[in-house]
Amino acid sequence: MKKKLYALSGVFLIVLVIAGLWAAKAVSLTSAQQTIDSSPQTTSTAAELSLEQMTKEASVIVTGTCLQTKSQWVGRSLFTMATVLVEDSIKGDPAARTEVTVALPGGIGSKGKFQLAQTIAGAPQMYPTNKVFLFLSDKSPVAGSYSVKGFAQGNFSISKADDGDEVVTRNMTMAPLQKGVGVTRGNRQVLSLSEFKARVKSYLNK
Amino acid sequence: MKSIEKKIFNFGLCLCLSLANVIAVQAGGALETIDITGLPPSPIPGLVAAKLIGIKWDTRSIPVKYSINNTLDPIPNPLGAPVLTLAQARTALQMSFDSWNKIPTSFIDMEITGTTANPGLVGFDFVNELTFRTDPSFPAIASSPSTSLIEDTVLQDGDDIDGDGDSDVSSAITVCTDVDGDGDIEFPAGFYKAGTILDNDVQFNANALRFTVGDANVDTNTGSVDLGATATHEFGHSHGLSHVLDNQISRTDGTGVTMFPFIDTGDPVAELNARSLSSDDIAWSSYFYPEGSAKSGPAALQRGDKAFNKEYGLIKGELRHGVLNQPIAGGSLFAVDFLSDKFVASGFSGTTQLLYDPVSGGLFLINDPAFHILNGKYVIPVPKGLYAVGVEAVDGNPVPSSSISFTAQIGDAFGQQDFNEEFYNRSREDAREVRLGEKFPVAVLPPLNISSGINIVTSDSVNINNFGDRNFIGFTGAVPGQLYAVQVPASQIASVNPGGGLLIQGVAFDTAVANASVVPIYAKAVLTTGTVNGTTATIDLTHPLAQQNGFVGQDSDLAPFYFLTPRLLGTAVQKGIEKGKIQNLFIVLQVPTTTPFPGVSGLPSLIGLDGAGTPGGSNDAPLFGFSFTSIDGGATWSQVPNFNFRFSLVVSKPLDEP
Repeated sequence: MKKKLYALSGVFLIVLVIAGLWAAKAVSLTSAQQTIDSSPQTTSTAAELSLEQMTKEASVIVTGTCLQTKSQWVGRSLFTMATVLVEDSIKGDPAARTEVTVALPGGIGSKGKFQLAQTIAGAPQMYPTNKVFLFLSDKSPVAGSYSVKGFAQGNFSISKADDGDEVVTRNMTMAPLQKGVGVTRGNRQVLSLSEFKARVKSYLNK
Repeated sequence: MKSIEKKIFNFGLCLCLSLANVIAVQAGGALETIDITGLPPSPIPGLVAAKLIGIKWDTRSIPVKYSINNTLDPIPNPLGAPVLTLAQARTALQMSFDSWNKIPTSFIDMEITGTTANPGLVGFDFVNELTFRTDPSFPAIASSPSTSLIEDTVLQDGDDIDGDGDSDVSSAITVCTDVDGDGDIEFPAGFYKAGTILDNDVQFNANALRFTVGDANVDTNTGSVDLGATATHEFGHSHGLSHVLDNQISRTDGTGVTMFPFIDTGDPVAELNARSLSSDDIAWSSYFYPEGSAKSGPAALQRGDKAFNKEYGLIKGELRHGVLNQPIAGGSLFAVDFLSDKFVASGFSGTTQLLYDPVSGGLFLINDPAFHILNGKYVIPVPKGLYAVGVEAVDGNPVPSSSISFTAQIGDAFGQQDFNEEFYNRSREDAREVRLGEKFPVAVLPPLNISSGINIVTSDSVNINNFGDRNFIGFTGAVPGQLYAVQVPASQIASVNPGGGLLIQGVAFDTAVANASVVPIYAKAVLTTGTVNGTTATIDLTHPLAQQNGFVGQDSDLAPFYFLTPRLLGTAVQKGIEKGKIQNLFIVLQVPTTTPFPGVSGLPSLIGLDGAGTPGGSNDAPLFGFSFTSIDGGATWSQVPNFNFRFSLVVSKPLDEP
């Protein structure tokens, strides 16, 4: 976000001139001139990706439900292999239309008699029964699996809003969420699943 | 983040007094793993109750010895010819270690003692490796994977823990040593607690970024990053520190703490600042590795050291959710200096547990917060001083709970991160409070233990939000003094508690800046009245209900402006509505009136916007038509048809109503 802002500074003077004409007329502040895409927050020190970037760069985009997670040593590193039952394949390999395996860095496992964990700050996480909206890369350190695009950035959860609609959040949730419009508690960011999908599809069609 | 407004203004319909409290938020704490010692039973057969604990080095591992990978020299530069030799990188990396090593109250000590010629990737091998080799799929700037024990363990002479055929444990040593000279480190035989780090590596993504050293080479190229800034952050993880929320130290310093998870590679000031530890970074490193906590070994006081327990006190308490009546997991508690409002340190609430499947290694959640959240206790280590203690939800702004910890995610999973920021106000702490910005001073006088019992209950206040999620931030082309306003119709206010009273507690603005080192400051924040006529509005800026000049926002977060007299304000507004004198409230924010705007981009302070941005585009909320702007000081206002400005009105029922 901040990086893009800098890139936009070149049009700043032009915008000032346009802004001077606003006083007596209805204002149409277009995103191209005046705003910066507020991309989902990233994790760790990953390069920040906008939703449009993630959509375009992802090999596979699916919604689904995490069926199971299993830790696996790959060489000297632990991965949590998440099996996701695909419900909607929005982009990518037809083979990914029923089930995908996603390699999540870090995990818990044993080496002989020793019980160990590998911890990586900000790495993506999934839990069984977790409904997810995933932007995946076919570049993965584990053969036969996908990785989450942009570290954890491509990992969204799908939950129910308190009015029954499905919504997308950055974090996993088991409680009904308030949509945040109208009278609400707090200011948590949620987005309707239908709008999120529509936005992704609009980027695909660009 | 935070900062505090203290100016009090008289005005408006009822001459109400307002006290603005722009609260910042941040948090500190531990990188988590699980503890399955004794395989505690769980409600699910076959699964184990796994308590979440922090990871850290055992004192026998200190100094922690690192080897730098020497197979890439010079360091690859994806932007062109190499600009960094391995020797330069090694010097910069040791300087980053030394930033932590020099903390007088922390006995952490991390040293580069050798090299490794590993042609592959890092992993669990008892070589603490620093490398510029990463897998092509590696998406981050850098990462710091740590391998740790998840149960109390007795390591015995000859144990081969990593399975490479070489013993990793020796009874002949008392500190970690490369006994056999083969390049990996052996641990002394003996007992080790769950959470003990056995191996840590740090990998820097030279496939994607140009790493530089030296102040002169820090630039605005977003594909280039200061190695020292990146390494100092990662080395915080290396000794067990988690990410934190604080991205704004004070009302005059927009830089964040080193352990904030994002680096603005386009802002040289922000990059350089990340090399220097903040008070929060120092406090948590010291809390985990307290100098003077032993009579011998690395924790014993040596020349130049200061005893942690004489320099620091602990603010302790419990955080509970006032509506759900539950202890909160992962709420962010923070301490600011009571007089200057400068952020000092923070911590997360909650002791938590997950379900663990010993067969698959999988972690599980069940829909039972009572099982997962054992308590809402928190601790904040702070130096001697007088503090205000506040709490903020880890609600995605500025950082999602998934970037923080399992514990924060657990709280999020059970819908707990849905409260407004507020301060501890002692006897008035309750599920409903009148003044969310009211602060009671907390004195910390180490070594006296006088700052316990700082218990906070989150308020049941609600927000009137005429907007959906944030789609954009803007406006980059705002002119000096430009005003943004959001209409809140009287009918909407009246519908909050029909027939009952109302507390108007504050307003909140979704604010942001273009450059991470800049404070999102605004000429003023205002709550006032006005009328709407078609696509124009008349907004009364000369008789505001509440006003804060020099309002300080929070970068990528909702910044509250809390009022001192919510009862009076609520009563006045309700009467004004009943008598037809108030048709709307307006929440107003003004861009600074002078230029140049600060920061390398030279852009004005920004606001959060909801809307597709393009005609007919999809959006989660209707375009209400409640957003207006003025570029002539408020003489004329124009409706903004394509966005909802993300400004909230914070209200509550009175204390004596259910």
